[in-house]
Amino acid sequence: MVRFLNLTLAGITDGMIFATIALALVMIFRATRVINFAQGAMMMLTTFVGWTVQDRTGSYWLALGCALAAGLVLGTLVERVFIRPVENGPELNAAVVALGLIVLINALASMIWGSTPRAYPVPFSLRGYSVGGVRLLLSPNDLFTIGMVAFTMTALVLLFRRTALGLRMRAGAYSPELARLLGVRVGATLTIGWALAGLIGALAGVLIAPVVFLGPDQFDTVLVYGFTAAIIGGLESPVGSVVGGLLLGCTLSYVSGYAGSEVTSLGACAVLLVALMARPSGLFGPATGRRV
Amino acid sequence: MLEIDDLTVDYGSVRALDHVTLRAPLGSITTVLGANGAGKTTLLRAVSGLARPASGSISFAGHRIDRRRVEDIAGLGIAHLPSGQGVIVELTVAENLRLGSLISPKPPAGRKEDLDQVYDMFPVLSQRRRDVAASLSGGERQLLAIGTALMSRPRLILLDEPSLGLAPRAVAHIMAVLRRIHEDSGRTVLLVEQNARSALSIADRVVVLNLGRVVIDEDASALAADPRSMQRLRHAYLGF
Repeated sequence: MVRFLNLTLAGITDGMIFATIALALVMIFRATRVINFAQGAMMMLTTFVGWTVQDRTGSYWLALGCALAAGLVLGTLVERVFIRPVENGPELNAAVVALGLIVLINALASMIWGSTPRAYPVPFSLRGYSVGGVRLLLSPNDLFTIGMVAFTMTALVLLFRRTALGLRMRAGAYSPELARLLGVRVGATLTIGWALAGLIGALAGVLIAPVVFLGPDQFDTVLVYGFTAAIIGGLESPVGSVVGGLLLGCTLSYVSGYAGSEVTSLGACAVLLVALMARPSGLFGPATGRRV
Repeated sequence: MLEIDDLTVDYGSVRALDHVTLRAPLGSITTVLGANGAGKTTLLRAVSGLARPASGSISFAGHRIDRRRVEDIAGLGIAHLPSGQGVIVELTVAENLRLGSLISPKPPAGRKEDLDQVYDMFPVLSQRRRDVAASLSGGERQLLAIGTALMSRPRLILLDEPSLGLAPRAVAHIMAVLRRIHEDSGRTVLLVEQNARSALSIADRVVVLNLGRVVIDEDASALAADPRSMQRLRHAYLGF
């Protein structure tokens, strides 16, 4: 029973990080119909910015702030410089540009920081809490991770549901032409969407870096799980990305705990297949097929 | 109010509007009639900036608008309701209306009054304010589109075939609503229609387009009284 509880706790922590990556992908897909394959490379770059600040100043929090700011800037730049010119072309164009960005950013990071994985510090203890003499797989740092992700999700939901900017962003995403006729600067809302996705990705990067280490290719596995979570959730729904992330995180944790860590990725495949068989457009995706 | 001079719009090699000149005077309802492909929709798209003119000019309240951005033109007080899909179906009724009011920074008190007025005028929207627009009927969506436009306090309303796909009773209701909006607030309306009978019932002035050219431009009452004009109207529609 304790083992099950521990595996669940570990699954939730991992799942929250998958959910964060999924959320960044969902934000962009909802607004621009682009699957941002470069999300992993972008978060790797921003995490390196954080790592550098941490290295120079020794302050975790300053580094976190700089990484998040770098995420905002990078998201804005990528949208304005690389995506905007191909936005009106076929959707595949933007996907190809994103793939090209991966190569570009990876090369850049290797040139600046080298390709040896580096350790990234944690702000809080990794020692699990003990309850009644039983050590739990939940540390203060895990709580920090869960808290940060939960805070970001809540802030995003409030932004979308309660603010004028959020309403404009949703209108611009759902129906760009109508939104423009109602005075929404759709170009600006799209850029803001990418900037926010960059910020969320940067957060995910800083949270996952202590676990998988930091290097040009270290985030690849996590990124695949983030994609899986987004697709389980339906690619369109922020709530879906959280549910997808948690579902995937817990499944992977059970699989690696009960069946062995060598079959973990099979577990991801299985949960994806089952979810898509049950609901082909994702758990929270649109009920009907998209009309083209 | 709205002055269109010598306007030409091309879609590739197809000339959609050919040297069109027309006026929508302040406080009037002008209807633009014509068959499919006559250039009616293009005319409205050119005014709101969605279609770029090849030549000619469009002025609104004394300012040239034909090179300005869609969002800026909307901000000047021109509300364009495209045909068919005039609401954002993924948003709720209340959100659509709120979006309309966001067009210019106004004090929230004014917004609240506008909202009450719209709900007063369209009680069905008030009952369904929390529902997504996708769940509304075609007629209700059209009312919501008009309500959203009103929330932006437009000086000029461009309507593209509000009767499209609606039952006759719903069409009559929409026309009555337009008449009422016009009478209550003196707003200028440019109404594009295929349904000539409905449009003529509320219009002050009639413009008929045929293959991108203006073929009739006169007072609605004069047109209705003049059999020769009516014949030309029929010709523009039916080709005989």
